[in-house]
Amino acid sequence: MNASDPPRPERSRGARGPRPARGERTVLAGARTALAGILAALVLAATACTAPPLNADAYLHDARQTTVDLLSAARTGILVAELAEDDRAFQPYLEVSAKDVEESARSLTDTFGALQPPTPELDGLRDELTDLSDATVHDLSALRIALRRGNADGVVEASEKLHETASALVDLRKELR
Amino acid sequence: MRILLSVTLGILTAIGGFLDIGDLVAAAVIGSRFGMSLAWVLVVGVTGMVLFSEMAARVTAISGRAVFDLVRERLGARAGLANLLASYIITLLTMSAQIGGIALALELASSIHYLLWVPVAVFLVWVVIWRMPFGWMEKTYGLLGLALVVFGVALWRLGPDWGELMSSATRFSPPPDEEWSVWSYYAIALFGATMTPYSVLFFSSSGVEEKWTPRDLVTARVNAFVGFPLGGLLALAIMGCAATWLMPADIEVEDLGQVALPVVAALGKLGLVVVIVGFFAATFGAGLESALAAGYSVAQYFGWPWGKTVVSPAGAPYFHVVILLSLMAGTLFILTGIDPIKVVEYSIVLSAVALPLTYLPIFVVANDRGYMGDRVNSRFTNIVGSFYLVLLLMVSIVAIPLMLYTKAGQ
Repeated sequence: MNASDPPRPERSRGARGPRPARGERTVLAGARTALAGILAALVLAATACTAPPLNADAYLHDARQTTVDLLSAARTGILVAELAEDDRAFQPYLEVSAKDVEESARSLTDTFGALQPPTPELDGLRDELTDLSDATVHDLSALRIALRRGNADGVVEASEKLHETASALVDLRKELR
Repeated sequence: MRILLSVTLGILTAIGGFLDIGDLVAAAVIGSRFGMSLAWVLVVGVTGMVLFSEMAARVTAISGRAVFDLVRERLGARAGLANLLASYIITLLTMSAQIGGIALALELASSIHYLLWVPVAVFLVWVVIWRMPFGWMEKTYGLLGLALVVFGVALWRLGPDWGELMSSATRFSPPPDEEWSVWSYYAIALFGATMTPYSVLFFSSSGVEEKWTPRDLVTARVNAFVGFPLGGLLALAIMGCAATWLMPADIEVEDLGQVALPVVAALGKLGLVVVIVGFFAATFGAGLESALAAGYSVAQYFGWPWGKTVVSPAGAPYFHVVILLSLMAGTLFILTGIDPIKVVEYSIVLSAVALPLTYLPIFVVANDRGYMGDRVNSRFTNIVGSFYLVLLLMVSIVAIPLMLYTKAGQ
């Protein structure tokens, strides 16, 4: 330690300091506000802070988002199948990846299926998207099963079906834009 | 030669230890959805991280005490307690996310469900904290984390349109089919992931663990000024891989397996092995750091003996009990089955809310001549630091409203 360095103060153990100055009271107030914000956010996050759509715009937004997310799951399945066909990845990784996107697609299906269409005119959209989400889940399940069994033909077949489902989802996404 | 070796090792450790599950997920999610249009956030975040890490390192090297230890003394017990509570909650959430990340990495390697790996991961973290020497611990996960360089190699192998990537990076606006509100939300998330509070808490306390003196300031600065930006380049590589391979395929990242997809596509099985090693090292290292940060913050506030190297485990019982209880709480939280990736996403946004609480006290202490003597912040540092504090405050204020408005980025 150099002579020019300030002497190091003794460590205090929980000693009380003087009343904080104005700037420090600002820090304290800010800290309290931020802490309240964090706690509020945690509570809201715990309740998932989602609500069923209230009008047609909100329903269409949810339908659009579900379509995009299902397309993502289907395309992931296709990539996983290609990696399996080309033997470019180990079995555990392929199985886990297929399982994860299948679970994601299943969750999307359940969530969208629970939404109430706000008007009868949107029942057709609901039916179409529900069918596509069921198909996505089915195809991803088939892929997962084929991967786990080492069934190369099954992987190819699941991949082809996922291609068809993905095309249909792309078309629906264009309609919903 | 010895000094050069030490500095090089420090830089490599800083690079490899820079990324955690939040950075991995945030960079990949953003790259797959927005391309490189949020790359500027990484630059801003890394610059802020370097600035405040240097301040924290200087405070520790000059005063011989960790920043949090001084915060309570300087700002008073009540301000320190509010700071502690906010930092501790965020650190606990972040630590839970890291534990989930370790388990997810092991699941990718084994196909054994990640929940079964959670107790194993926590036990390993606890054993390393309890038994492994501090220096060995840092260097091991830091050097193993260099495996994430595989993303840079993969990006090169994928043969992207570099002009298009640069164009996307300099666009400063969302892609045509994305909303500004959602883009801004993810900007905040990435910023929070880059400037996580526990990193600075750990960096400062590790300086005391390693008995930094003013002479060590040069090495610490080199680690911060060179190591952290190079670590930030790894995050850019992850974003680039997602932008190049996943975005054109309409794949939006939601799990760790998807983060690895571009590497596997480019480099096959060898790439897969290396990337899983990288995932494990990054999340394990961050799990260690966040668990220690939890212990440091509580022990320093209450004035309890703390540290792995400064005192023996028996000499710091409360410190180790806090770490153990924190690990148990994080384990129980992840074992509820909540999606670890969702935990990651919420933890990095909440980190953004807590940023002013972490960095303002560092700024105050680094300007206090009573602790720093003539080594207080320079005028330039104070100008840049003040700009960052305003930025952190703005980010903190809008983070939660944006999260609610965009339904967490949907």
